[in-house]
Amino acid sequence: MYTLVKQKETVNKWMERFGVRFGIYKNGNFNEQIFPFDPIPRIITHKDWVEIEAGLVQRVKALNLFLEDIYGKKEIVKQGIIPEEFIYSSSGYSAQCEGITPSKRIYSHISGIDLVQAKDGKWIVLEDNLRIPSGASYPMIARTITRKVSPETFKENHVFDNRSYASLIRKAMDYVNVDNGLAVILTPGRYNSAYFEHSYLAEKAGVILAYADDLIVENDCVYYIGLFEKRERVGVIYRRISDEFLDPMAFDSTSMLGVPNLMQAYRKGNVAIMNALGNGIADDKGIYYYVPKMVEFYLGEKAILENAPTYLPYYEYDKKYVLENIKTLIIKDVAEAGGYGVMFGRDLSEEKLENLKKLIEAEPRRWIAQEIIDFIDLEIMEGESTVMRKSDLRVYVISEEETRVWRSGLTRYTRDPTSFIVNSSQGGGFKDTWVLSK
Amino acid sequence: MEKIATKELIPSISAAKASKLFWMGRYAQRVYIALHLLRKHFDLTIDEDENAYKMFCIKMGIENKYSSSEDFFQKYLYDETNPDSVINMLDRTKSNAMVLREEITSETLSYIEMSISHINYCKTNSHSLNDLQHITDYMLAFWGSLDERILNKQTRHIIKFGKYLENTDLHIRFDYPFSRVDGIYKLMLETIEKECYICNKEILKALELKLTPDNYTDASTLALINSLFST
Repeated sequence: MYTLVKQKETVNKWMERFGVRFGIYKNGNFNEQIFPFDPIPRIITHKDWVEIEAGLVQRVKALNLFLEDIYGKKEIVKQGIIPEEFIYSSSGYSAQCEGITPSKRIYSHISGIDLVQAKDGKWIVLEDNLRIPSGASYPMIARTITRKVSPETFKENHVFDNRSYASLIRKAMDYVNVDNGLAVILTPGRYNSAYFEHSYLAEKAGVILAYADDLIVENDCVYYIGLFEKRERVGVIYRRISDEFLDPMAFDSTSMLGVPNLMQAYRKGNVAIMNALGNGIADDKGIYYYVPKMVEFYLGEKAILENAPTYLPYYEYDKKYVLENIKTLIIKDVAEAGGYGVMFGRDLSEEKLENLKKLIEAEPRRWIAQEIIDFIDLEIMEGESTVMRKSDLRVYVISEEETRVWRSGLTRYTRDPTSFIVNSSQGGGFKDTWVLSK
Repeated sequence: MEKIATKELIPSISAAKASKLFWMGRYAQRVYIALHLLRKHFDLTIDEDENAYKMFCIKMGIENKYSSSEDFFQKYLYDETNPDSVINMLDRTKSNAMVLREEITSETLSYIEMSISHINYCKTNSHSLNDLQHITDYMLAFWGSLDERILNKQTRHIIKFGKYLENTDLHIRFDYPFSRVDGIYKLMLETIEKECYICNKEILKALELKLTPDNYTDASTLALINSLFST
């Protein structure tokens, strides 16, 4: 691995050459920047991976069953496992999705599960991302480059190849494709922060990268508009646009990014959309609390992977604990994402703590609180030496005929020594994630 | 205007995408030819005509807003605020290319990315036109990569239609002999014959009449060439 570490600049040159960037809006301006890459990989031992893989397959199966249940029979609510109010007050719940069964009954085709490793070695789930989890293309292209730059590194280490991610996506698209239509990735366009990923995955999966104007719904079917208005039926859309912007006739009427009447075609079962609409209910930060209970309810098994210790102020006894111990907890706004709306009680002034307490009292459903996990730091290169920084891991689970875990992941790290926030939008970098095959 | 009857329609290429393929081809070729012509005109400034850049501007059809030969070579190459500059041509090539990654492949796109990195490097670190030879090499590699990697022939032809159209235009502007222009034009026709539905039939007919040894340098010929593309 030494040669790889020595070649950090060469790797970054290759990244530049391939235009590996992400976009960021700051003060109303759009800028594209290189996603900083650190050559020291995160290494997951084979033994750890076996547990992670089993735990994630279990978790995602349960989440898919939960989504089917919530938009169908609602057994988990009827049985009193999750309070009804908790479902319907979630901003992720979509009434328009009631009664819709997606192609092959799959809701979360691509699930991005965020994990951290505690200092005792235990892997803990921090978050489930079941809407449009992004980021897999970065370790995929990083591996392509690092294998070129330092082949001996991969001869000496037994690392699962991760370059098949796009094929896994394609397989999932083909599996749910309705009437063998065209497979497209629907992008909001080049000013989206993840545009590199959209175009790279379209290239590597061999599917069409489509923009809203390229698609039209006629007679409840979706068509791709080719030259001279020629229509070709679309069977599956891997959308990279949020639910609320996907169909201006069904959701936000001001959206220019969506396809009018797409929801109608979807409802009729004439097109598969991945991930399914309405998945936001399952990655609601409050619903996260219930995932181990879902595993037991739907699969009759004990969850293999644990959640971080979490409190829901929605419950009086949890609220009391949170208000009394707010200084030692992380408070998260369930409506926020991307590292925003996350507050460490210990960093807040007395005045801000008091204000936060009032907000929690007023809107308990809006907040969750978690114990601060002392998770392991990872080594990153800084100049010629190394420093330790906080990091997380997003592992991608693909659901098609089988549920598979991609044997890699996106490891993000903070470059700020005082920060726990690893999101790229807040200045973080990334590493390759090696899963050892032996 | 009537379009030539459609044959072998490309359902997976939208009109917007076809337009981007075409313009990427034009801009990429403009970069390549502009650098070639700049070298020729720079050579003239050494010991023959220090104002050769003025003729360059006239032939290229751009405004002469430069105070000297030195000012011209600096601003025409590197000034991002100058819409005529080579750095802007590259930026436009990239703007089209980056939304075509899945059509042209990351490897092909990488030659545009490297050209941009290199011109930005030269902007602050080099004063020699000679150092821009790398960009010429990258552009040649870009065209080679297109031939090598783009398996969809329609995609290739639309890009090359743009390339040869630009080539024809610039060769006429810079007074290349008819035999040369005619040769390039015939290369363009090969792409049109294959992708005739993206060009205007009436204009093509009119252009055929104009491209003769006596008329090919007329301004109206250039106007026809630049109206040929149509989706």
